[in-house]
Amino acid sequence: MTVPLLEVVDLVKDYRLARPSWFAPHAIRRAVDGVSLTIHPGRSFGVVGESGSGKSTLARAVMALEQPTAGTVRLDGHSLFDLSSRELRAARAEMQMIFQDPYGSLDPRQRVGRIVAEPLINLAHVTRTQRAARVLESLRAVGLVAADADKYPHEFSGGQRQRIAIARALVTRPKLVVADEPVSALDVSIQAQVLNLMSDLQREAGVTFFLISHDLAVVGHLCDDVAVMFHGRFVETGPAAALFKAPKHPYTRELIDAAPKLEEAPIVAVDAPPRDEAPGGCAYAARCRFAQARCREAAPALRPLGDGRSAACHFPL
Amino acid sequence: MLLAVADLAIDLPTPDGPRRVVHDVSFTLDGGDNLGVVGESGSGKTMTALALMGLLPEGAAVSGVLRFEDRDLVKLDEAEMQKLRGDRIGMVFQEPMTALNPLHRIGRQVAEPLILHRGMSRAAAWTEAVRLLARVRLRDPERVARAYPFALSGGERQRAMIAMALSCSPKLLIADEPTTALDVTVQARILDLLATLGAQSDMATLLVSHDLAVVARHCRRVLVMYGGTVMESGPAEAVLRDARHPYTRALLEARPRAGAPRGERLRAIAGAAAPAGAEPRGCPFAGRCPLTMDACHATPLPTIELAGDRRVRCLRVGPDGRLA
Amino acid sequence: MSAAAPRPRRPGGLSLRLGAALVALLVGAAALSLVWTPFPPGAIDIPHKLLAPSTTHWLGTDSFGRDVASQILAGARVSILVGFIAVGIGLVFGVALGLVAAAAKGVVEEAIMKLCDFTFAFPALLSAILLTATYGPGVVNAIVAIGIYSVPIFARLTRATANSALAREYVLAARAAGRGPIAIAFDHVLPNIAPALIVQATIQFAIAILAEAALSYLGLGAQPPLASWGRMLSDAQSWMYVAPRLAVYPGLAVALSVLGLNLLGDGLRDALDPKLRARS
Repeated sequence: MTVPLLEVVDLVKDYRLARPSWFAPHAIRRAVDGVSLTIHPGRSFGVVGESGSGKSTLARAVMALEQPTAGTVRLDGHSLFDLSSRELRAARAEMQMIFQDPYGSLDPRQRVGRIVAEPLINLAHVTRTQRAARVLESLRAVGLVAADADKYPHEFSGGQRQRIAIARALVTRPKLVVADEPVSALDVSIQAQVLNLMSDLQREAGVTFFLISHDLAVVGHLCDDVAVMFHGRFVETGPAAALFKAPKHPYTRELIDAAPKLEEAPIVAVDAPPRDEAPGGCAYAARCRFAQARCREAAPALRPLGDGRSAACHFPL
Repeated sequence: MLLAVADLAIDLPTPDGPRRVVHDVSFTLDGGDNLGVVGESGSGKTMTALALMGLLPEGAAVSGVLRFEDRDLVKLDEAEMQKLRGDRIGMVFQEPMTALNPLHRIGRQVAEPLILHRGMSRAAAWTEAVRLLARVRLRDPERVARAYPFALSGGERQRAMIAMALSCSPKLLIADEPTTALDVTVQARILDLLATLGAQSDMATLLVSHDLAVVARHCRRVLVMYGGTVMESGPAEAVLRDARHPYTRALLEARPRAGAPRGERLRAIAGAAAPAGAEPRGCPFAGRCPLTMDACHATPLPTIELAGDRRVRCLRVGPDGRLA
Repeated sequence: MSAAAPRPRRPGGLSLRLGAALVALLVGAAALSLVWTPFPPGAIDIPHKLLAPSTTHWLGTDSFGRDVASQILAGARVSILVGFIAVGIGLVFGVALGLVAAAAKGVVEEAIMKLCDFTFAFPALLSAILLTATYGPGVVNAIVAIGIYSVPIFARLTRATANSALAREYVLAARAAGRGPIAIAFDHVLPNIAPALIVQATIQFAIAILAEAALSYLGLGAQPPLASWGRMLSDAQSWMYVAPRLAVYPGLAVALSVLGLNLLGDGLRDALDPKLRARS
């Protein structure tokens, strides 16, 4: 049994909000509410969710960019938050990140070569000359040329900038790449190019992706396993193909139905006003077509349903 | 014929001289009809919408005919355009947070066009505003009217914007990427709402979007734009089921499908969109198009009329209306 | 809507050029005075006092027979020295404090900002007067006093711009790449906030010149025989009815220098900003 590449156990992340008044305690917003997942090398994992689901917070916690309130994150068996800051910096060579905004994630005042080389500065065992060679290798892998290393980000289009971001993520030859909405800001035709690139990297360079997206089609295209996130929790997990063909959780069903498709009209859930949320019950109960009394009383746990599928629902579909 | 656009061309000022970002655009829109304008960034679709509203950036030059309700919008001055905006033409933008004034309550903003164009009193306009907020299916419209924009969610804000756009019962609603910034479940509801409201009040809708699927399901007719001009147009169903232009075809094939096998290679369009105006005489898609011929770079695009009120602009389309 | 040809705009052209020209004049005058002035600026020549402008004395002489033109040139030296060092003090300490405040957040940030507020609470010029009166007049103390007041201005500006730079995704990407906070401050934050700091520096320079002139006018800044425009203004007061031109020349020098620096700052702000915003 191989050591899983990434293991997240009961991750919780709370944010402190402003106090409603001077003597009241701070309000807490629980962005991630007990999430666990396992990623094996070679099996890319996708998290689907809408805004407010906590998926970006999850991505940042996995990358150790945020300190979780509780829970562990293990990369290759090592618990990230137990490492010293020097060990953590060394561990970062194995996991890199691609961000959503191709315009904001590259420093406009640095040349591309310098941007792509940044993760290498951290690695002691790579010399200056080796650095230049690796940068070129990375640029070529994403379809750019050596001459591009001397240009500035503003000289490139959105799709090209995202390639530069991918080149930067690959330069340390990481095992895991966390991609937070990598193609959402791109035009359809450019999206396709970048998705093809990411597929190629999976196949040829053995990169495993941890992909965060609101777009089911993108996740389905790149990932073997998928988790659907709602209000900080996974409400359904399973192999991608099976999950999209026959979802078990009503929210997954709603997402699939609402996605604009060419083949059929989107099924719009009746635009009924949401019922008041019942604390302690299922977070989705307020919107759920199939909600019953039990749903408002007790929050369902994520339970295995066989065949690698799990759902957090009292009445799975 | 509510709206007739003929030979629309838009030039934007740049440090290197004027640049033509939209050229040769013609289409019509009847009252109560539903037209979608699809294109990627740089296609000119947003500029076209802005031209209709008279909201192009300063220094822009417009030529051609924009006939709305028998008046040529190109010839109107700012004061006359202001009378039309909000009254006969309603607009919904992409980012409700920036389109709404953060310092005014929602009710006041929805009431504003009523006070301005219908001469209503503050009180009467407020009551009407609450009624409009209910009409756009907002829960507890009284609470929403009293709230400030930051207190609402993205979907609620966009509904408020729609209420504002509809307040004076305009004849034409222009929506520029109204749901792009919203979650997919909210998007579906908002688009459905727009369609319903349009049908109820016999209002024509012009929906601008980069998402083919959105336009396919919510618009009766579609215009596909690339490089500043229209490549193909016709009934949405027909165009998307049986696309005749190489660009439309490529766009349809480039989308990942949720059910497809993992890692299946997408048919991406090579290269990147050239800035509009790069091919002054030929087809903007020449070079990137898998069917490019030499003639494509230099010959002005023909407009080929097909059965079923369809038009294609491609040198490769033969007399039978199919790609050769 | 216009059917005429579109007109492009030019970023800050006139302000930048005019400002740069005036500042060049100022720096040129100071540089020149190091190697040559028509007459030694401090040379007293009572028999030739209060002369009108002539071919020998281009701007005339003052009540001690000193050549006015030479003093104007030499005075430029002091103005530049004061401006440079005072702004330098402000930049070095102000930017450091601002960066620490932006990066540390929480109590540290509050403490630093309150310290700045505290300094702002005192009227700058009065405090400068107090300082120089306590520790003795002289150009060095004037520089220190003016410098101290520039620190909170740069600290505030740095904190605000650094905060928005730190919120950018490229900083998050740098953290993900393993860079530490100091590396990020030097590699990512400073280069991106530099334009705002440069613009503020030119404005602070102008303020420093004015402050120096005010202090010298009161006798607390540059002491004779060091030439200073402020001191020239002070001397000219007694002779207002006899030779008002003695006040006009130094006054004009101060005004043109301050105008030039302000125009330069405005022009730079326009020229530097759009370039950053002009992404593809």
